[in-house]
This record gives sequence, structure tokens and C-alpha cells, in this order.
Amino acid sequence: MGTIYQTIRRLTTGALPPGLLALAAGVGHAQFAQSPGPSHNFSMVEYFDAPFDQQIMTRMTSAEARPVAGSAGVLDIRQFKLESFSTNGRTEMVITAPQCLFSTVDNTANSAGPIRVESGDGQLSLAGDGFFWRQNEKYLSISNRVVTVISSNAPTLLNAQTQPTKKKP
Amino acid sequence: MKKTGLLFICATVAGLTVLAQTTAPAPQKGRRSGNSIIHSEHCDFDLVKRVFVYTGHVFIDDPDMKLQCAKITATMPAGSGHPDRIVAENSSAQTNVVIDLLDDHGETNHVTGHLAVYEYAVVGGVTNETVTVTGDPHIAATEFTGTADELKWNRATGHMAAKNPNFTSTSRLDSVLAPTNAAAPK
Repeated sequence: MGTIYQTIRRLTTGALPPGLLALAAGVGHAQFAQSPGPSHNFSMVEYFDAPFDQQIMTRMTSAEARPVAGSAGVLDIRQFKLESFSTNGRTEMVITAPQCLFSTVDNTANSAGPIRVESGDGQLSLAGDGFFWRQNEKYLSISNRVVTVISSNAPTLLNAQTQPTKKKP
Repeated sequence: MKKTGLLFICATVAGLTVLAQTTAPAPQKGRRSGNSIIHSEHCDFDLVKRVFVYTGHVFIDDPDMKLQCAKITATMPAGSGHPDRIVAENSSAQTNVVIDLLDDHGETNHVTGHLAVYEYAVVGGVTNETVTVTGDPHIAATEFTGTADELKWNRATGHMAAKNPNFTSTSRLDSVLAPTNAAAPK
């Protein structure tokens, strides 16, 4: 496993809140300052260990991340998206949720809301309500009403996303 | 041919205990098209090991079969979204894995057992897809009922193989076993 959050890329202009700046600096356990401002369109990337250390293992993105007042190291994430890749750069899984809370203290995410998982080849999709994600172990638990669809047809759904990922700059 | 089938079923009903593998009638020939849907209360997914574990009133709704059980563990090979192995288990609360297979005529063949294992592989362009039921398996089909040490359903061909079968005819015996039973005694 690679080091978590080795790279955080800001994709838009605008200042990151102090909490995210701490994260960006690799200080995942930093105490959050009480920052009112959200960050828009950011991503956090984790790379494989050598010899595949130029390949992205997971990439977490969101439309908005806002520090939660009174909860040290917790971000309120909107449009959560987590992609996992194989060592050849192919997309393996895509996990999406409209909203979740992400803890930079223990690198976990949780939500009582809906979640969706799709395999990179589009043959499997899964939806449910309520989840808990442990980033360090790459472990996802879905709490309620889980429905999984295994396609009997040739993969079509996510073919466009299964192109090899970019390597480290 | 009809007489041969009748002799065979009489032998099995009388208690044929020699370990042997024979073929029972096919619940269907080939697969119906359509997606498989798994319903459950909970799911745990290990992204590293690529293992899904479904628990809580697990129900598989498939064009060829319906399956109910307490727990399902599905593993997916790297680079594929299609599980290569699914293990359906019972529990103390739900003592049997229950499978209803649809035959060519749309009639249900009811199968129960303590454990069902689905295996899927594509080798040399050929798809191998089987469901094996063990743990005191029972089958209730339209033409016969019975038990065996193991029931193995080949989804590609639609044939079901029974190990140590003990079947009882319910109707239309001759048309059931005669054509496919190569192991019938003479």
C-alpha cells in the first residue's frame, strides 16, 4: 500500500481551509482550525508501492469539502467519489455518494445517505443506504437495503472510464 | 430405453449406495438472458481482496433461479466485475439455502441444502458456470423428488448431476431419465 494522500491537487482556484491545507501538507492528524470556508473540487490521490509507484491506486474527489465545526479533523464532503485502479491503470471500482463525513484523523468516511458502487467494466453495480469506508484497509460496509446488479451482457457502462490513468507528474 | 430408465430409478430408490456420479434431467437448456440481482440488508466489501459479503435476508433474483440464504460471499478476479465464485450459506436461524430453478417449461425445481457454491470461469472462450449444492441436498422437481450427496447444476448446458442419488418418481418417469442416464444398470 502506498502512503495515503501523498498528493492532493487543487483543481480550482480559491484558498483551501486550514484543515485541508494541513491535509495537503501530509499532516492528516492535524487539528482543524475553525474555518468557515469550503474547498471546491479537490482530489486526494494515493499511489501504489514500488514497483508500481507511478500508478494511482485510489483517487478521492469531491465537489465541496467543508470542515465540520467542533469536530476536529472532520470534513463534510459533497459529491463524494472514490475510484480504485489496478496496477495497469484500469478502473476497478467507483464509489459515489452525494454526501458523507470524512475524518482525516483515522481516514474514514461515513454517511446515513445513499451510496453507489460500480465496477470498472460495468458488469457490477451496487446501491444501498448508509455506509462506512475505511480508507487504510480499503474496506466498505453498507448498512441497509443493498441491491447489487450483475450484468449478463457485455460491459458497456463504464468503458469510457477504464482508460489507463495518468502517471505521476 | 424406457425400461433402462425405469430400472435405474428403481435401483436408486432401493438405496444405491455405491459412490457414483450420474446425470439427472436438465432443469433447462442454456441460460435465459437478463441481469442477476442480489438483495440483502448489509454488505461488506474488501476492496483489496475483492470480496463482497452479503448478510441479512439475502435473496438472488436471477432469470434462471431464485435463491434465499443467510449469507453470501462473492469474490471477483482482478480486472473483472463478474464474480468467479459465490458461496451461499445457511445459519442457525435460516437452516437451508433455498434455490428455485426454472426449467424449460417454466416450472420450478425446488432445491435445498446447507451450502451452495457458484463457480464461473471462461477458459479458451468457453464459459464454465456451475452451482453445486451440498449438505443434505434435496430436490423436488416436477417429475421426481429425492436426495443426494451433491447436486451440481451446469448452467451452460442446463444439466444437473447428482452424486449418490436417491430419487423417487412422481410422474412421467420414463421420459425423465431414460435418454440421459448413461450409468443406468442393465
